Amino acid sequence: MRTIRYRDALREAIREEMTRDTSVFIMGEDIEDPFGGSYKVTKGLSTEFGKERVRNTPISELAIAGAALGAAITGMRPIAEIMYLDFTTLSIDQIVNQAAKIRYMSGGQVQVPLVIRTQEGSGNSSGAQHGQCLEAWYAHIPGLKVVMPATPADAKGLLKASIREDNPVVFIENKMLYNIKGEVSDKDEVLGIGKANIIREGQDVTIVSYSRMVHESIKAADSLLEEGISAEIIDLRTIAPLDIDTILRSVAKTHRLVIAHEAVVNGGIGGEVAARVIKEGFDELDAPIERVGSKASPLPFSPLLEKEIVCDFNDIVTAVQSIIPNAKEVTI
Amino acid sequence: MTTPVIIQKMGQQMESGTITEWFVNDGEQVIMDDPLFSMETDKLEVEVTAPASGHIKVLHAEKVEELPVGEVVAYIYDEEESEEETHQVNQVAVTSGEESKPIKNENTSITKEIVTGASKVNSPERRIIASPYARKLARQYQLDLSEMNGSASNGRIIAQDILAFIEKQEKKKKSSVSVSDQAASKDVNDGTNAFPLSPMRKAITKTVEQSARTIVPVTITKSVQVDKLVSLREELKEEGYAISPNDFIIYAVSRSLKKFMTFNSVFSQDQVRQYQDIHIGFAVAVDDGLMIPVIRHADKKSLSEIADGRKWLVEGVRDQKLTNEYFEGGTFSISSLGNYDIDSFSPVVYPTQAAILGIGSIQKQPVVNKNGNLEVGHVLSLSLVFDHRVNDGKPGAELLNDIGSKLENPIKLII
Repeated sequence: MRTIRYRDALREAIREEMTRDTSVFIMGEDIEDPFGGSYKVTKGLSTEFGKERVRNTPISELAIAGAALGAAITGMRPIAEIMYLDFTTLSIDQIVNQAAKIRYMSGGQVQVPLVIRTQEGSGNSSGAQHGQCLEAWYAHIPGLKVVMPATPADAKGLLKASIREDNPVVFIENKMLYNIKGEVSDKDEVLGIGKANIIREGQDVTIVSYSRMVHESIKAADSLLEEGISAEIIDLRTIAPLDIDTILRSVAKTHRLVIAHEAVVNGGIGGEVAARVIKEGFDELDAPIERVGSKASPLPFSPLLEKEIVCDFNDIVTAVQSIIPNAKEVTI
Repeated sequence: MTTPVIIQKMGQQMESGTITEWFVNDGEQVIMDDPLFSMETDKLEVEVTAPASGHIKVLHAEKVEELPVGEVVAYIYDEEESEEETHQVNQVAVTSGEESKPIKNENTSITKEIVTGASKVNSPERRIIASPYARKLARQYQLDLSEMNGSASNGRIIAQDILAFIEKQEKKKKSSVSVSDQAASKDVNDGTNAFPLSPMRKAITKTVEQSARTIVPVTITKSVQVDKLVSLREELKEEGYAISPNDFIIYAVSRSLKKFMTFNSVFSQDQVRQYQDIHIGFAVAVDDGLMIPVIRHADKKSLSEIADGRKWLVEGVRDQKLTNEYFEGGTFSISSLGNYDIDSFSPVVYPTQAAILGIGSIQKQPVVNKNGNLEVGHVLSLSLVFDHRVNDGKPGAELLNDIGSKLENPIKLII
């Protein structure tokens, strides 16, 4: 075990997979040295593996996705880096209409081992066009897997799994997580796509979360513990496929559910989780399901306004208190 | 305070009830839990007891009148109250609805009555608000949600309210048990030992008494030679299927009943009501009594589904895990003493059904074979007890023969 950053865990995953399998390569905007990518995930890779396998592209997200898809269906295992999830709107035809459909439309004859690596999230005043959380769009598309790691260990284990996956994966990182540190195994650990992780066990309420909001959920749970409320935290890790069984087991224990994500509430994954639990775990619910998410507004550039729009652990605490009777009012 | 007596919903499908007999007269003084009237629904006959003490004003005195669920059939008034005054109060309370807003009234004491009346009255307009989990717990512990107050917002009943209610009941029970223990010990001198009835014993007493009161039973018996069934069962065992004779019998009965649906019915209010579906109840002995869980749609289930279902239900009964719904809705019953070396017996017909089949033990007996020679065969005795108001001997014999021939030649079961 070593303690490394999320960014370095991602780089290790790419390096190890490129070493293991020569069909793995990566392409994207400004990912070559000396720049090494906007978030420095690919730093050093072009020096190590050469510009053939770590390729800069023109500023055309459509071209990046299309070229990567073409490589994927002709035997390569490409990783396409799209600098911001917001910019995948430009490549969405290749991802949704082509990558997600080809295996089906070819009757299973053509596999699509493609990884779209990108990042989302607010928190550094990146404004309305560089911080949206659009993961629900992709989770809605049959044929796509959507992976959203919250920790360095999951970032590495799940990126390796995504590269080895024979179907297209939209791998969404979070820009505020690149610097967080965490323990990562020294071994070649490949995690399973579609398995949630119980980060913390608790009795009174289940908080389902993923990506950056997992860390806010932990803060919220710490704060709730002071009031005597014990929260169970589930990190979904992948939102498509959804590990509904783990959620249902937890709700059967706590009988209360709060879902927290940074994406805006309406149309978010929280609604999907809630609907599944209402249908499959109806008799276990002792309180209405609460959804925590950002307010329905374009992201403001102003740091103060951004903080106002984007949800954080206070919102999770308030949501939990609202469904647990006799919970204290908390002022922070 | 005024307490209404209403037609309560006793089963999921219940829409109405029929009062068959009043045990009290209009204006009489009643004490809480006294039986007031007997009521018949499509499924069962029950005695409805007084929800409060006081004198009673009966609204629906006529017998055999079908009343919808929620209908107020009587009011019970506190002793010091005048009937007219409280009647008014109650009507105001109903129009004031659930908001429990004090209504401005010159007479303040009446205003107070309105408020308490509105919250306590179990009026049909009041929808019980409870979380799904609370409802699940209530089903599990067989509790009436209308007796509870909700602690969550909007008065919703949640799990903690159920748990608090159970705790309160346990305390109550403990204190009442000690009283009845004293009562029992007092009786020692007359040469008998008194044992208070358990709730299950009480229920059985009620059921068999009701059956004896209403049903006119006729018993016909037939011995069937089941050698082929015994060897088929052995073969199935070798193939890895554990099918008991009772499973075969349930399977055969459910198929035969389709041809004799008059035995899949109930006599009720001077008419025969035939059930559309076939749900077979089978008696399971437990400590201090028996219970009759139901295999639903037995006629549509395969032999292995019946075997699995029966095993699951028997285990559920023994572990006391089954909720009420698993005992509801039987349309025909089977009772077996096959494990107790009994030749034959006449079980009691369940009051909401028209027939029951009693199963004896499979015994080795001398039988005369086709060639007129004696040999040892496996013989099983079947006793069909049926309500003579619904069926006569001839169809009874035909049904029993049909069941018997299926068990004698189990090859018929696959047709």
